[in-house]
Amino acid sequence: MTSPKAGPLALLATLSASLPTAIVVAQDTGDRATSFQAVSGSAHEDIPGGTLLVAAYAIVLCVLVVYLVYLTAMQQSAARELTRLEGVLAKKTDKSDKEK
Amino acid sequence: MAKPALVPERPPLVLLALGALTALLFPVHLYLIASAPIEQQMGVVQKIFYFHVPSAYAMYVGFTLAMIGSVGYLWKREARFDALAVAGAEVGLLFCVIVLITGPLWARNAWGTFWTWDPRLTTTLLAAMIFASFVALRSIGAAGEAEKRFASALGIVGFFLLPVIHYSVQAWRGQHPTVITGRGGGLHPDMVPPLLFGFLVFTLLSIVLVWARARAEMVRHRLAVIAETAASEGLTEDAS
Repeated sequence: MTSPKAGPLALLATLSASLPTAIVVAQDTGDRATSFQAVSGSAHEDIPGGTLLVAAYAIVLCVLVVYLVYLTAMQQSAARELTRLEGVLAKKTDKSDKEK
Repeated sequence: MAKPALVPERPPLVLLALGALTALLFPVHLYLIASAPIEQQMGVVQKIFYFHVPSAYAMYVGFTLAMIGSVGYLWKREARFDALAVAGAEVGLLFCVIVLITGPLWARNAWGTFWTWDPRLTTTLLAAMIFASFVALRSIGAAGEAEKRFASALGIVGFFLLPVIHYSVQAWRGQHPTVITGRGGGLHPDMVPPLLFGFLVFTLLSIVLVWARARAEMVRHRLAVIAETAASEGLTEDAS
């Protein structure tokens, strides 16, 4: 009769034995370069640092401006809602006064 | 009887003064960045550092305030803590987005790639995702008590990522520079003023934005309470 712990132990042993193979298989991605070919003509792929710096600062300013616009819109929306509530309450109060 | 103030009429003078001061300091910071020396190895793109790092610091400020607000809300259930949590999370996320945009633009020239799964980059992205969940949860319609409590829990969980982000460059191998941390080699003396000034400007900016956003959230909260009360008393059929 086998021990109840034999099953998990056998599974653990199998997994441990297959670990080196699994690592090799995982590392062999299959999409690595197998040859290098020359381009024809000039190949400029570097982006000038100044362009990246200006782009980064411009993005910072844009993000901040967009957030400020969002905050302003939120406050305007709250102000509109307040005006609407005041209007509705004023009408209701007038109506109640006339009924009295 | 005096009419109760539904919403604070004007922003406090201190908030306006801080906002104006921050707006005035921005061009000075830009001047300091422009006049800072060009780095020997990386060239002019290194100057992104002068607003990338202060943005990260402002992100820490925002997320810390979000945690304080979240703990306060779970403890006291007061709207002002909830407003602080929302404001801190939103402003922290704003600066986190700036960090996650400016960093890759620097990395494109410094590392040759926009993104790599470096520990600091990965943990920062994770923090952004947690606080984006917080903001999304609080942006969907009128948040109920359950949403507020769940968002508060997210705010606390997200906060505990900050030390992980901060010490990830020291604890794990990665590509992220460690210039101003414990193991860093330091900065050229002429590079220190724009960085310190950047810390000042972005910290002030984060405080101003959190303050303004928290005020807006309090106004929204008060309006929602007024509308709900008026509707429940039958004063406004269409107020809610």
